[in-house]
Amino acid sequence: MDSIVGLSILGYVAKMAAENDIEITTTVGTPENQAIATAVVSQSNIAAGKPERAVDVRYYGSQFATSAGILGIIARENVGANIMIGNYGADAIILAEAAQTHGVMQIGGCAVPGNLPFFMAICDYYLMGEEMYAAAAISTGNPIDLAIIAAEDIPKWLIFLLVVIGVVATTAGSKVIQTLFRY
Amino acid sequence: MSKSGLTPARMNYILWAIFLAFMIIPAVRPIGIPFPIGPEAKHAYELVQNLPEGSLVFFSVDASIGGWAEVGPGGEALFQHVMAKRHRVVFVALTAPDGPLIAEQMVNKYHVKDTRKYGVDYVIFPYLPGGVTAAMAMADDFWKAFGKDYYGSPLDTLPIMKDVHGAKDFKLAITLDNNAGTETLATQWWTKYKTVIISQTMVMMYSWLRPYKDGGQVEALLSGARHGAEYEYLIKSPGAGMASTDMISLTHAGMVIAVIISNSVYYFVRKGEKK
Amino acid sequence: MSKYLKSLGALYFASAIALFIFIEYYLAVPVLSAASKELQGFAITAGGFAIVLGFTEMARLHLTRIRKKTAKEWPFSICLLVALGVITILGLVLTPRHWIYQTLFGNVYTPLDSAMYALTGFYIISATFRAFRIRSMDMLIFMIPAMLILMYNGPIFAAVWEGFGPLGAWLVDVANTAALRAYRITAAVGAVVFTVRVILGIERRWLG
Repeated sequence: MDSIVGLSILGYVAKMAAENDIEITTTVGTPENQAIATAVVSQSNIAAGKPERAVDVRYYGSQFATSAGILGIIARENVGANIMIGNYGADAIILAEAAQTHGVMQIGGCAVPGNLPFFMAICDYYLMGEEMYAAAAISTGNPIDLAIIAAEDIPKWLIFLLVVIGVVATTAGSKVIQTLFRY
Repeated sequence: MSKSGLTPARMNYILWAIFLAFMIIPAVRPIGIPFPIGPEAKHAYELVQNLPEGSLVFFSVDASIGGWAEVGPGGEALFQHVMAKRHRVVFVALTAPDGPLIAEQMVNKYHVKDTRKYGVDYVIFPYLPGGVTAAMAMADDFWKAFGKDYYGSPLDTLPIMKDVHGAKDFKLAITLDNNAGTETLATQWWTKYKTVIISQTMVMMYSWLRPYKDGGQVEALLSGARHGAEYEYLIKSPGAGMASTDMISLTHAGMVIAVIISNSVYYFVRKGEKK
Repeated sequence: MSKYLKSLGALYFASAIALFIFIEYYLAVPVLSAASKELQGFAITAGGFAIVLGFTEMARLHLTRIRKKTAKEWPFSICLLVALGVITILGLVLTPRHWIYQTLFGNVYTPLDSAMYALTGFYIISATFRAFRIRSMDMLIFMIPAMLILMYNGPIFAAVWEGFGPLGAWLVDVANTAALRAYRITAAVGAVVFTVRVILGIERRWLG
């Protein structure tokens, strides 16, 4: 799911890069995403009216092989901004810190909380959990997507109420909420 | 700091050199700092210990080699314990392609072939891409999910497979987890089949997976090399976990001291600038 | 077939399959379960083909770099292709069970992967040293539990004062887990909503 969010945001960023004649290099962590990312970037180029722009999507292999490849890109290719959105593991800190050393502006987003502290400490901007999904929706500019983001608050309030009722009920000795949600 | 020529980059190099020393010194000359045995390691130990001999155990090596330093000590200790108790083990890899190679390395490292027979006491399956999809497929119909084992043998030539059809046949599932292995098992295996799960995961994933432990989906949750060291102590087989506790102690102590120093310097520099 | 129709076809196909798997998960109908297992088999097979696709794309990219002698890049591309070729040929001809393959895996790939993972520790050290500065009251409130958890994770502190254990355990198991639970719930709600958007075809950028 994080990968699909990353691909959605890639489409938005690639279109902006095409409109402003900025080089964009995309790296992916899985082979399935490589073909999709290539299609997303070329579609963004077409949408920006520049179908002749080169599509640079790179896949390096395993998690740390990809990290090593990205470190090489940051060190050698005069990178100005680093956007990391998706399912990152322990490699997130390596990439973020290396980019920080080179003075690169960074935006990080990951639903895995293990990487949150690193993104918060190192990145200039970060997206926590559902902010990634919201960013994917907002970047479309579609009123339906924006309405869905606003409507997400309703289930959150319901869950909050359930949690409060559950805490009070369990503290009072009642197991009604636990029984209700037992598998 | 810029006045003394101590740039941030130089500061980084000094820090890295100090911490490298903190890691190398205990490796060369162990200090033997004591560590307590926590309830998680004890609970995981009892789960394996109390299983009837010959029980089927699902052992998913979901950690890649890169994260093996954290997950490996506990993983190898669990492996040794399961083998010593003469349980029958099915090795798979749900999320890490190098899982079967790691399983094979463990088999060779602990000379399992001397006392256990492949195909009868244990079997290794190849990596099955798909993550959640692969876990669902294995849980419902193991034979359909895998046509052959890691060595290319058809499943009907492996005696152990007569008792393996799906998740309901396993008394215990162990996952060595770098990323999504525990969640995959908890949502796909426990939800439908109530499989007992032990997870050896990384320290940074512990709090994220803790709700599964509190909800009863995971019976025992071990995190990092420290819990691995505790498990090694319980099975009386010192290994990389116990060897690394000194390094963990020194680096954590160094980190606390470094933070105190950095804040003290920051405080005095700021005080000087205000004057 | 126009590109528009192709993407619509892919969208409808993906949506139909996703809805089917979703519905089958909650219904215990044998016919549906059998069909679902077949589809899962297809997904696993497609995943295998994707690895081949990644392999060929990677080879194509790096061959292009070598051919164009891209500055600073082409020597590394040669290294990558040589390694890729050697491992692939060894794996196919000798199988991964052969001692040469096992030696390369154990003595080349394993140390390299472990070294990359070890970099994490050093980068965390420098990031922590730089970021853990008490600039405000918020940072002070953040720092105290952080230091306590550092001490909880280091066995040496438990040897000095055994109180670090229960204190750190409470912070990790109760306080930290509670906060992460809230985070998990909101992230899960966001993920469910996003999934529904993808299945219903409202979110289409991932199709390309």
